[in-house]
Amino acid sequence: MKPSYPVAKTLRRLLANAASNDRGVFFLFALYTIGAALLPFPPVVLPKLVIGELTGAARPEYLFYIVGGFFLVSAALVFMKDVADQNSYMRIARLRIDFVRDQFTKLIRIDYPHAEDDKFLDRYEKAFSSTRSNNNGVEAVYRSLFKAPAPALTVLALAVFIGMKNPLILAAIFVNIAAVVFIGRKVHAFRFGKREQLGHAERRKDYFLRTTHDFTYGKDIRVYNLRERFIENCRREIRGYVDILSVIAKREYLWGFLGLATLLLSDAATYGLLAADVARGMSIADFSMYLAAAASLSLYLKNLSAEITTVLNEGEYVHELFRFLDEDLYGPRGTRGPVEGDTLEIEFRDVSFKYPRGEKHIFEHLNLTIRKGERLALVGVNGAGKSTLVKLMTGLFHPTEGEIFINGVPIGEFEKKALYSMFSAVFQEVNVLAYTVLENVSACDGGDRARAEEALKKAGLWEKVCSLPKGLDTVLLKVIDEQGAILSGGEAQKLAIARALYKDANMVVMDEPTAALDALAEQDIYERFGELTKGKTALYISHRLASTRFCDRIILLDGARVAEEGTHAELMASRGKYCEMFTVQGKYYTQGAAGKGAKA
Amino acid sequence: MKAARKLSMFLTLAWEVSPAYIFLLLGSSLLGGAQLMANVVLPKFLIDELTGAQDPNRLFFWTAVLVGANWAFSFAANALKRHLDYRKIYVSEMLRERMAEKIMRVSYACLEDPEKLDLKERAVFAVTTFSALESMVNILATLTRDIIVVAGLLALMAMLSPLLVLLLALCIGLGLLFYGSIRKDQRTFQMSLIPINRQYGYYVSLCANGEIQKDARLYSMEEMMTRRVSDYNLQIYERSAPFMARMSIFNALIDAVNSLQAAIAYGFVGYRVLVPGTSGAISLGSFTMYVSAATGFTSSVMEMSMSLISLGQVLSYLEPYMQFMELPEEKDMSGVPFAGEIGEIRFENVTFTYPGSDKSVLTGVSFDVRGGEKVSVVGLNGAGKTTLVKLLCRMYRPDSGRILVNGRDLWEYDHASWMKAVAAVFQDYRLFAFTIDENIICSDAGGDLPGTGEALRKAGLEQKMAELENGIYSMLGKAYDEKGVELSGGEMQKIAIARALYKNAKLVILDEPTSALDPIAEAEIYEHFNSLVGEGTALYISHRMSSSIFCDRILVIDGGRVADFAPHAKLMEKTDGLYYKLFMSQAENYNISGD
Repeated sequence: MKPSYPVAKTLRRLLANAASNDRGVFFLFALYTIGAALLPFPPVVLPKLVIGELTGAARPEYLFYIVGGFFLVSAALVFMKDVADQNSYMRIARLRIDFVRDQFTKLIRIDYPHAEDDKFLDRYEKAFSSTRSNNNGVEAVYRSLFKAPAPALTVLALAVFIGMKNPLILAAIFVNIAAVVFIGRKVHAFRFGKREQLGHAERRKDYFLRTTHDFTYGKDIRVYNLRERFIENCRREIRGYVDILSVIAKREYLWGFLGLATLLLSDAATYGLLAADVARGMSIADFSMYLAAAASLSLYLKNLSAEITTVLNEGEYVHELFRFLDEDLYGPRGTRGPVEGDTLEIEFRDVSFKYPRGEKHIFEHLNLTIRKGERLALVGVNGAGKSTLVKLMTGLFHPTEGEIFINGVPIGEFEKKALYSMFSAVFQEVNVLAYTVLENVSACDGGDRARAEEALKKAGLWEKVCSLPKGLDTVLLKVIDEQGAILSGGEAQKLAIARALYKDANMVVMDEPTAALDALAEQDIYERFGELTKGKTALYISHRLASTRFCDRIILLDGARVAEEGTHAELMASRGKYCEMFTVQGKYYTQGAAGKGAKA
Repeated sequence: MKAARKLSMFLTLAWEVSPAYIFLLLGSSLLGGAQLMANVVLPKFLIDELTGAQDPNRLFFWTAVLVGANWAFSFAANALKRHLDYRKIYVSEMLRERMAEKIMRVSYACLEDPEKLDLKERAVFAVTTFSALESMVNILATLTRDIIVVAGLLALMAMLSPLLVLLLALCIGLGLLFYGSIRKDQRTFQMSLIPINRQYGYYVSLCANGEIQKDARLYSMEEMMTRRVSDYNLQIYERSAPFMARMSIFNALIDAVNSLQAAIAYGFVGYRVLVPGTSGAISLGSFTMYVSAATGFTSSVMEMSMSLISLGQVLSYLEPYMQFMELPEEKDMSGVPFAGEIGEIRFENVTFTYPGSDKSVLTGVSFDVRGGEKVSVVGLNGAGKTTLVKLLCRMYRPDSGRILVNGRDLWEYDHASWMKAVAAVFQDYRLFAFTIDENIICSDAGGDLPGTGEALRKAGLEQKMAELENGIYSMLGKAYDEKGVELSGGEMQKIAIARALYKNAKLVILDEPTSALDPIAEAEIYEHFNSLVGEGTALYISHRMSSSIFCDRILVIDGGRVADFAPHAKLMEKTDGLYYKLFMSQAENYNISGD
C-alpha cells in the first residue's frame, strides 16, 4: 500500500514548525537517539564477557568488574534516554497547541454555510482528529519521528554484526519480520475494506447506547414502555458490531500462519546454525552473545517498523489538517468597511436562494426593501424562510441568484467582519456561554463595564445581575464554575437583548425571541422593543402575529416570495392570508375576552 | 466501596456477560506463564549439551524442542487471540449496555438529580476515556500470568540460593519505592488536571458547536473563544512540564534498578559457578537458567506489583460505574391493576419538593378532575405545571398528600397498567431513530396496525406522509440510518402528538405541544382538541392563553399553589386575577381590548 498523500512534504512542514518553535527539542532528540541506540548493546555483550570469564580465566574479581561496568554503562544510557524522552513529551505536546489554535481559529472564521453543513465536519473529520490527543495525528508523528532513528541505528549495527557471523541468520530474521509487517498491512487493509460496514455497525450500536445514556430520553422511554425494546435492539447491534470484528480477527488468524511459518524458519536458523557453529568450535560465550543479538534484532526491527507505520498512517491525518488549514473556506468577501453613523436600508433585488444541499428553493425572485429607520415585522408560517432572510442579509449565506444591497451597496462588496458588525441580532435560541456576565454581554475579553451596566438596565436584567454573588463578574452556567449562575428562559433572552444593546449596531434584527416565554415575560420583552430599536431600522420576525402591532409595516412571506405587505390595517382590510391568520389566532382571544369559552 | 467488593462486582458482571471470555482469559494467562517458564528452563539442556558431549542427535533434539516449543506457544497464542480480541470488545460494550439497562430501570427521580447525572458522566468518562473496563480486563490477565510465573521462578531460584532471592527482593523493593512515589505524584497531578481538562473540553466543544456559530460571527466572538482554548492548553502544558521532568528522573531510577538486578543476577550466579556453595557446582547450562530465572523473576514481580497498583487505580476509576450499577431500581411496580375508565382524579393537599431543593414546587395542591373532563393548566414559567404532569406519570411521589384515581392512591396501582392508561406529550418530548410507524406504535411489532394512519391524520401529518418516499415506514432522523428523513420541529411535534393519540389512553397530557407549530396548525390542534382526545380525560398546558378557552375548566397555578380552578368565563370575571391578566396581556395584542 502506497501512502496516498505527499509524505515528505507533510513531514517537512511538521519539522519546520518544530524548528521555528522549539529548537531545544532537537537537542533532546540527539540525546535520546544516542542513549536509546546504544542501550541494547550492554545486555548483548554482558553474557559473552561473563561466560568468557567463567569458562576462561575464572577470576571472581574480574566477574565483579564486568557486572559493575555493565551496570554503570547501562545506568548512564538509561538516564540519557529517559530524561530526554520524558522531557520531550510535553515539548511535543506544546508543539501541537499551535496547530490546535490555528485549527479552531479557522473553524470559527470559515464561511457560515459550512457551519450548517452536517457533511462538512465529516469531510474534515480526519483533520480535526489529528490534534485531538497526545497519541494520534500531529503528536503521534512527532513522537515517532523522535523515536524512530534510535532503533534504526541499533538495527543497522546488529544486522552488520550478525550478518558478519552468518548472513543466513540475518536473512531468516528479516524474512520473519517482513512477514509480520506484511501481515500487519494486510490486516489493516482488510479492516480498511470493512471500515464502512464497521462504521455503520458502530453508529447503530452507539445510537442505542447514547440514547439510553441520555437522561432526557427517560420520560418517553418510561411512558411509552420502550425499555425492553431498547435492550433487545442494543444487544442485537452490539452482536452485529462484534460479528464484524470477529471476521477481521479470523482473517488475522489465518494470515498468522504465514507469520508462524517464518517464525519457525528464523528460530530454526538462529538456534540451529549457532549450535552448529559451537559444534565447530565457537565458544559458548559467543553463542550466548549471538543469541542475545538475534533476539534484540527481532525486537528492534519490530519497534522500528511500528514507528514507521505510525509516521505513515498518522501522517495522513496531519496532511488532512494541513489541507484544512490551507484551503480557502472563507467564501466570497469584499473589502469595504462598515456603514458609519447611519442606520441601514436593505434591498433584496430578484433574490433566489436554496440551501447548498436543499432541493427546494426557499426564495424565488424575491424583491423586498427594508426602509431606513422603519420597524418591519416579517411573518409567515413555519418554513416560509423568515430565518433564512436574516441569514442572507447579514451575509451568513449568499444568494443563489440576484443581489442584496445595503444602503445601495451590493452586499458582496463589504468585508465579512464589517457586515457582521452592522447588525444587533437576537435569536430564539439564546446561547448562554460559560463566561462572565460582562463577557457574555460585551462579547469580548475586557468589555466596558459602564456600557454593559446600561445595556443590562435597558434590557431589564440589571437587578438580577446585582443579586448575583459577583455581579457583572459572575460566571454563567455551572460547567466552569460550580458557583456559576443559571438564568431562566426569560432572563437568558434578556441577556441576549442586553448583548444586542451593548453592540449598538446600525440595525436590529430579532428572530422569534419570545417563543419559549410565558405571557407576562413575552409582554415584558415586547415593551423593551422600542428602547432597543430607537432610531434604527429594525426587523422583527415571529409567527405570533400579535407582535406585529408595534411595527410600522408588515411583510408576509409565503411560498418563496412576499405574499402580502402593508400596515396592519391595510393587510386586515385586504382580507388575505395575513387577515386569515390573524383572525384564526385572534378570534379565540376576542371570544375569550368577551368572557366566552369555545365549548358549548 | 471496598476494593475487594468492587473487584467481585466486576468479575460477577463480566461472568454474567460472557463466561467464555473468562475462560479464554485464564487460558491465555496460563499459556503466557508456561511460555516464560519454558524459555527459562529449556535453553539449559541445549547449553549443557553444547558445553558437554555435543552429541549431534541430542543437540538436534534439544534445538528442535526449544524451537518447537516456542512455535507451539505462538500458535496457541494466535488461536486464543483470535477469540480474545473481539470478545474483549464485546464484554466492554455489554457492560455499557448493562448500564443503559440500569438507567432505564432506576426511579425517574434519579434522572433529574444533578448528582446522579454527574455520577453517570463520571462513569461514562471512566469507561470511554480511560477505557477502564478494558484496562481492568487486561490487568487481570497479566496479573494472573505473573502470579504463575513468579511462583514458578521463585521455586526454581530457591533451589540455588535464598540469598539471591533476598538480594533481588531488595532491588525490587527499591524499584517499587520509586514507582510508588511516582504514582502518588502522578495521581495528585492528574487530579489537579481534571477540572482544567474539563474546562478546556468545554471551550473546545464551544468552538466546534454548530449552534453557536451564528452568534460567534455576528458578535465577532472569535478572539474570546479561541483565546480560551489556547490559554487552557498552555496552562495544561505549564502544569505538566515540571511533573514530567520529575517523572523522567524516577523512571530513569527504576530502569537503572533493572540494570542493577541484571548485574546482580550475572554476578551472583557467576560467582557460584566459580565458587560452588553447599549445593554443589553448577553447570554453564544451569548458569543461564538461573540468570534468566532471576531476570524473569524481577521483571515479573515488578510487573505484578505495577498491575496491583494499576488494579487499585482502575478500580477507583470504576467506582462511579459500580456506584451507578448499585442504584436502587424503581420499587412499588406491582399493585392493583388499573382497568376501565377514569372516574375521577383527585389531588389531596399535595406538596412536593424536588430532591436536593429547599423550595417546594407545589404546596398543598388540591383539586378534582372528573372523568372525561378537559382541563387547561395555566401559570407563569416555573409555577409547577410540569411538576403536576410528572407526579401524574408517577415519576415522582408527593412528599405529603395523595393523588387519588378512582378513589385509590395512584401509587397502589400496578405501574405498567397505569402507564398503559397515560399518554403524554412532554415539553421536551423525544422521538427515536425508528420508523415513523414504530415511533407511533412504540413497539417493533410494526406493520399495518390499524390506527397509525388515523393518529397521523388527526395530528395533521397525512399530507407530509404522502410526500415521503417510504411514507410512514421512513426511518426518522439520520442518527441510526443515513437514509433516514429529517423533519422540521413542527412535524416532529406532530408525530409526538400522534404517538400520544395512538396510545388511546384514558388520560392524555399535553405539555406545550404546539410551541413549534405555526398559527394555522396550532389553531387546528386547539379546535380539534376535544375530538382528538375523544372520551378520555385530558390535561393541557400552554402559554397560548387562547387555547384554554377550549377546555372545560382551567387550573391556575401560581407559585406552587392552586390560585383558581373554574371555567374560562368565570375566571374572566375576576379582573384582578392572574388568569385575567395573562389572558388580556396576549389578547391586547390582537387589538381586542380597545375596540
